[in-house]
Amino acid sequence: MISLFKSFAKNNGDAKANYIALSGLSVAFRTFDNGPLIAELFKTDVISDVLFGNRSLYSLTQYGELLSLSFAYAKKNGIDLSVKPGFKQWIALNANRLNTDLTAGRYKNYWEHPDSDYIAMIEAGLISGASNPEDLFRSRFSKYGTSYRLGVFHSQLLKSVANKVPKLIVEQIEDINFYSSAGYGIRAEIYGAIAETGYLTKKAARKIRSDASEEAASNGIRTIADNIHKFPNANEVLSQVMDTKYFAPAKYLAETVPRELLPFMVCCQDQKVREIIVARMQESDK
Amino acid sequence: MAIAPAIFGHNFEGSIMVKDDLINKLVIIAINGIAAGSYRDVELAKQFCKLDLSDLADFWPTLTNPTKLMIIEAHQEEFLKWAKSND
Repeated sequence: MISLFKSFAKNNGDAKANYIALSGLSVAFRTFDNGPLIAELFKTDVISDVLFGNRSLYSLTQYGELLSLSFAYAKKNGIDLSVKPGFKQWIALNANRLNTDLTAGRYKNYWEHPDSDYIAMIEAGLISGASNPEDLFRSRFSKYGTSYRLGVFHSQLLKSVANKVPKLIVEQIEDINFYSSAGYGIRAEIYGAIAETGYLTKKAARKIRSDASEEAASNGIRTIADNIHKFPNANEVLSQVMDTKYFAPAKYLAETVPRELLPFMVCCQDQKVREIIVARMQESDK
Repeated sequence: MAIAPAIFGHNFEGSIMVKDDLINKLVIIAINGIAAGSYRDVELAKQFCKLDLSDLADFWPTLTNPTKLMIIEAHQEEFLKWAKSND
């Protein structure tokens, strides 16, 4: 098989050839169907060759976005970047950026937009150990004040911290003062962040289901349903949230939970949700 | 190894991927994306389409129609010569 990359590089130079490969990587990340291709790129380290090859023609902002997408994908799929060629060196070079930025007082305002490689920067700080996730959580999230929304940067920081120390977040949710200390928007973010990690206790799941805010409960329950394959105690967690009183997450659960768990939802109060459950159960009987 | 006909997924499972194949896929994804109507990088796509037809032939099934048109445009003379030679 001829290498198009090499043929193009021979005629037009390495910089242009690698520019095309980087553009392809960018499209691949943004196209839903390309999951298997991205997985292969990480498995074979081709992603390192492309990302850390000649990138002189690629814009810095676009390159930062690609780095962020790569680190986010690795975090979501449990890929250890600290041993991957190229990434290893990038992490070592950028390990202290998160600490420096926070010490310098950046991201204090929720509207402050971070650099395009901010996900990579946060992950580099946490992977290298230069930033302590517990300290970060205590200093940035334990006192929410009167704010009701997290900015882009803090939303991502929370997800990365939750991925590193899920137990700490669960303890926070289980705490009796949690409702009064965090606004509904922030509770929604925290539920979403912890549900993405696949670590929840029965008590924390129950608290998510019983949240007084529909937005917070919905976000938590939907994220649990989307990431249910990650939970070792999936049935236990689902059984705690399936009798939610809110229509939107109840409908979402009725449409997505495994069929064997549907009988748990029959007690749901909403007629429309019950109809979905009955239809799915009848379908599975055929 | 023949390249998978559907470039946007599905045919990757079970096949032994070599690095060149994967990079070829990225290159084709990029070129198909540019040919689909991107106003950026058109010159780069045109340079790509000028590659030897023998190099591009193996990848023909994975190219989209706009990319194929760009290649035909870049190699118009060769195509016309070939068409006339078959008279």
